[in-house]
Amino acid sequence: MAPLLSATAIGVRYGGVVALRNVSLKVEAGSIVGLIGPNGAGKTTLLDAITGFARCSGRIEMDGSVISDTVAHRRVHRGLSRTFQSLELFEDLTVRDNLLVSADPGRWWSIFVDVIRPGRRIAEDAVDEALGLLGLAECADSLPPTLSHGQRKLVGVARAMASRPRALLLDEPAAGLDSAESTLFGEELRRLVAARDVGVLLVDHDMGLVLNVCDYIYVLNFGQVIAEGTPASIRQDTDVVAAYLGEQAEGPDAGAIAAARRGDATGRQVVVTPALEPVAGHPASARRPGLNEGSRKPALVVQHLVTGYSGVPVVRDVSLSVSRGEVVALFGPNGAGKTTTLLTISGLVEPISGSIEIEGQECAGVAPHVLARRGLAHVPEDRGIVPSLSVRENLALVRKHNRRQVLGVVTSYFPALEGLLDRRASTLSGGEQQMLAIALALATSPKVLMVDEMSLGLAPVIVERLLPIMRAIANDTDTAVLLVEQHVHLALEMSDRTYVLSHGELVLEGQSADLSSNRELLESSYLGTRAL
Amino acid sequence: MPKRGQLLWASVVVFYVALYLSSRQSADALLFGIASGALVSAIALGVVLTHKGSGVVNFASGALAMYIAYVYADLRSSGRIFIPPLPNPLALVEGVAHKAGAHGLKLPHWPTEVSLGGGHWGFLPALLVALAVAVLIGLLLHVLVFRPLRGAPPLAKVVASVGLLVLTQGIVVDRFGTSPIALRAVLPKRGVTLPRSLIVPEDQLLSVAIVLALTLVLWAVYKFTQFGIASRANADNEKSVVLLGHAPNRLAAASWVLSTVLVGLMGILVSTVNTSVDPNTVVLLIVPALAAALIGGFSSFGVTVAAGIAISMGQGLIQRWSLDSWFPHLRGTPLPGIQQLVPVVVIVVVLFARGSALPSRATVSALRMPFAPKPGSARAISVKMAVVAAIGVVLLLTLHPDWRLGIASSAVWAVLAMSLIVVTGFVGQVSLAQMSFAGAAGFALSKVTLHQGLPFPLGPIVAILIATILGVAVSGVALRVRGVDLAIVTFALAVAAENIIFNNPSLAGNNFGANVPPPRLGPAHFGPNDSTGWSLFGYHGDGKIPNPWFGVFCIIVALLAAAVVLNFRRSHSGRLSLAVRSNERATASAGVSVTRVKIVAFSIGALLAGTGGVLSGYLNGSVTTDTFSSTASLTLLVYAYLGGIASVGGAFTTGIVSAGGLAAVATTSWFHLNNSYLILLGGVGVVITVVLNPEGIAGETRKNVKRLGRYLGRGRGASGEIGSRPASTPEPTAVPAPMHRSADAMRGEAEPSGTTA
Repeated sequence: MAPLLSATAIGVRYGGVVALRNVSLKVEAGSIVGLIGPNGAGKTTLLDAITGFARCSGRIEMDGSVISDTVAHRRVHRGLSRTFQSLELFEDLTVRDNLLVSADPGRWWSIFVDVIRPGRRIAEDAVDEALGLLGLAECADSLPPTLSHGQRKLVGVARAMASRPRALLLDEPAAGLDSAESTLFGEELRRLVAARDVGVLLVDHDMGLVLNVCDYIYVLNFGQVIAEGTPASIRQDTDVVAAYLGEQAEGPDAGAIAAARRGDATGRQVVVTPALEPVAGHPASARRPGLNEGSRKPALVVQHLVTGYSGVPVVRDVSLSVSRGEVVALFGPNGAGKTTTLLTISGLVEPISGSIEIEGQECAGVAPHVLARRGLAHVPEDRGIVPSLSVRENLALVRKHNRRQVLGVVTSYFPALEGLLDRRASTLSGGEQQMLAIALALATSPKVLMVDEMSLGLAPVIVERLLPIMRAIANDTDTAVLLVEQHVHLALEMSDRTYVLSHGELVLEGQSADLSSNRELLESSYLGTRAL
Repeated sequence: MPKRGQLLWASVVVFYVALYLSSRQSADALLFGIASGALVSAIALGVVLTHKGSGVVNFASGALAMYIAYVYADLRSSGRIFIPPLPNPLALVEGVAHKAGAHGLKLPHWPTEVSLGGGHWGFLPALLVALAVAVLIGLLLHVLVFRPLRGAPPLAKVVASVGLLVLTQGIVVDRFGTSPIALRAVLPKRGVTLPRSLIVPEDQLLSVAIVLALTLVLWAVYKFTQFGIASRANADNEKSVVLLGHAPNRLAAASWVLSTVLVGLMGILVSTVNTSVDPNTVVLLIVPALAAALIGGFSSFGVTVAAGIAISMGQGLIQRWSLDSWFPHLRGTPLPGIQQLVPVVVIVVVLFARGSALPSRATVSALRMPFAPKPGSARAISVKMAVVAAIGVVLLLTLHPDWRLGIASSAVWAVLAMSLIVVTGFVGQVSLAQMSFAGAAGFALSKVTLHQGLPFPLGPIVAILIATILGVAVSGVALRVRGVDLAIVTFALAVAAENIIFNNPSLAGNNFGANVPPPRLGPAHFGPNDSTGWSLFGYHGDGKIPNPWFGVFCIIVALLAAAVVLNFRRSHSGRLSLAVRSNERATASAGVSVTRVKIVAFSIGALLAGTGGVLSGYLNGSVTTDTFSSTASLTLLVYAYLGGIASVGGAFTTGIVSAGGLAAVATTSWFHLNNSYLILLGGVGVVITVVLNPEGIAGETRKNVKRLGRYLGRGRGASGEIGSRPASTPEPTAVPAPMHRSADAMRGEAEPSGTTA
């Protein structure tokens, strides 16, 4: 018998970039299939392709009949339904109305009936059922913006369920939920699958959730499936650990992870490791010797920062500091609030409360361009370059009068850029773009340099070349460097201290050297903290 | 530009060169439109500049050129700078005092001009002062209007720039009237002999040369200076520009100043070449200018200017061709306005080719709209309607004829506004062509009644159906084009309809428009000018026109239309529309055909607009081009937004404040303000409304009423359930447009951690 949903040899290109290459997967009715992978691996693109929102090559079938050429809304009629990563609820419709839209897509003639009998009842039972399944009956008449984040997530799923799908595609439904909510969500999902015999394709970064509820898991990286199998086999797959933590295939055995997970099952209080001197013989030779904490002046001090969007906190009570000449790494699973923290420090997101000081000067609420002039450089996640300008023009954006000096600084760290000066930035490779982004930030001679997800979408080889440069910058120019990194292994090696964020809160901080030797702690905060 | 684009360019150039070489006549025709080509290019450059700097597509670019040209003209003729007439609160006091009999009372008014010594000014000083005014206007526009709108929904920006167009035009018309003002030529008018012994006036060539030189300067500035590079970068990736320490506000301000000065300079120069300026022609050059800017991708100066000149040459060519015998004629006269089709075709082709049926992942949720309140129960609505009807009928039967006319006009405008409420308010599609649908119905009504002899209910029904069918046709465009782009397309269509259909003498009759016979059903004569002898329970009216029963007819139609719109909003179709408005991708993911929802909305919108057009025809006894011009569509959007674009209550507010409506009757009869002043006030009002309060008047009132209700509820203590359950009575603006949060901060929510909605 044909599987409920099958995608065969899916390929997607955006312009010249290959987002997906030859990806195949199957979802059976009554099962939950996980789709995981690091940021930028192509997970959402795959969901877009399957549901008709992205043009793709390959074949998509429901119950053995091909739907690849069907337009998006008709695929829903065939029993395929999805949610969105950013929810995309209808913000000015009540929860019930949100569900009604999906429960009854309407017909050509509906308008004539509607104008005469606007109050006619439609598909209420499907809606009530979906509301009941997800425990939303209470807030059926609320508008989405008045709901909690967790409830909004459930509304997204309920809306997808209201069309009575047979295959349900969920895009990061647990992102932004705290671990209790996430556990609850997993249970709801299991119940739902059992009750309605749907097949679920679950994309999520919450490894605890995925490993717990899925029957089968596909792992995507760089647009390709790098592993597939049962949760037990995925857990032991060294490639997967490597993809997540950016390591070579020497990851810890699953037993260690499980042990760590059990050990940390009780709570999420901050674990502070005692400040230790770098362990002798540890590959931390790049770190500057002879400097102890006391002699360093703090350049960036963040205290009790609460920040988020539209008054809803995403980051709660985070305190951190970076001293001059120090490299500090900020880790955490996706959705932990790392980028939001950086955006708040650089003034692009307004903090809800807390203080941010740069060299003793209060910076919370100051306009971003003013902060930049005060010596704060921020390389954002999407690379702070201007794609439509040439490399030379990009460098001309640096507010310095001495052009030659700018060029000198840039080429001393990134000699490769010298030959690319007249190329359009958009035509550079990912690594070259990232070099340019860092070079731009560097050329402003910053006191504090923040780099967000430098390795995003870059091959490990390039990351290995770029990360040590950050160390060199800190050493040479006495800049305070704050790194948000996926490549935990490498970043630990070249950073002095580390903070770990999870669900918007600081869960771990300490000397990088200690964490390198006690990696279970770190992995547990990444791979979910629940007992198995 | 892709290869296809280059091919297209090459073929246009080859075509033009071949034409130039083929005959002297066609060579002449090509150069016919070259001076206005210079102005079109300049206006297009202005559009590109402001778009680079602040992301606004400035529909008022042409209007600003016209305005500065008037400043110059006034300086030349009388050595003064005119000041926009400002609303004077003291006028209220004065008006009331005069009503009370104190006719001698005179209170100070705003100054209307800054005298700079009077007399005739020379060219250069007048030019320089006018450009200084342009600098000031550019700065004011940035600081007062578009800076506060950073991060506002695109609709708000479109409405603001349309309001600006209406405002500047209103000021000039209020001050100088609609007829052209003569200007002395300054550039030499000598003929220059070109190859093939063509003689072209020197000033024509000079204005093109000046635009080309300015383009070169702009190009160099944007290529080599840090300001220029930062401005280009700002349009591409604002976040990184800010993070490198550039103040985006200053970049935006500079681009507003630059663009205003540029369009002002060329507005002045080309007006002197044409030796006259009027408040219409230059304003509407925005259509070919937008076409040119679109071809230039809102970024390339060179391509934009080349496209502007090419489009104008094409238009000139067609204008010349229309004198030839082979050109399509209708009843002995050549089809008018075909040259307007050139930019329309360009716009439609470019946008349609670039558009897609669903917005991409990045552009989703770009459009945030005013809250569309859910109407109350059917009973509450019927009660409200009955009350409105009763009050209306009583007023109509008792009030002075002026007020009767005001009530009828208000009803007509309310119906027209409802058409926008469905299309824009409920489905989020900005249409600047609603008055064209109204016009189509109006002219069709005239035709079918006069020529086909269709009697009352049949004639208007056929006319409205025609408008509806047109609406379905236009919705075809809206399927792939959305947001600001859709506003551009519909505006271009409105201009084309105005010039080709409504200006066609065989359709629109002579200058006085086409007659519309009054509506009569058997013995019931209820045209506005019909005999008004009636008696009701022994009560007789004043026997004057307009016939109060016509007002009653208008109110009934308006309430029927309101019922349709309210039912639409209450029904499942309304739910689907709001879903489309909120998020097209999510709507499609719910299995709803976005295509169908849009077509339905556009046809209902056109149906309502057609109804309004028919009523307007009956009200005026005729249909004229002016009533249904493209500018009228803009004014309608302005007033509809002012009234509140997302609720039926808003439509009635619109009706009251619109031209000729109750508010107008009140102000003219009490304060003796003229009509153009009212339009001007509408322009000011809408700009202020957009900046302060994107929900429109009705939205604001509703919020205040709600707040009051909650306040009272709390005051009542324990029984006040409203206050105690905030979750079930959410504030309507729970989806606020975070006006002061910059757009890049929104984009910055890359980490899907928050409540990124």
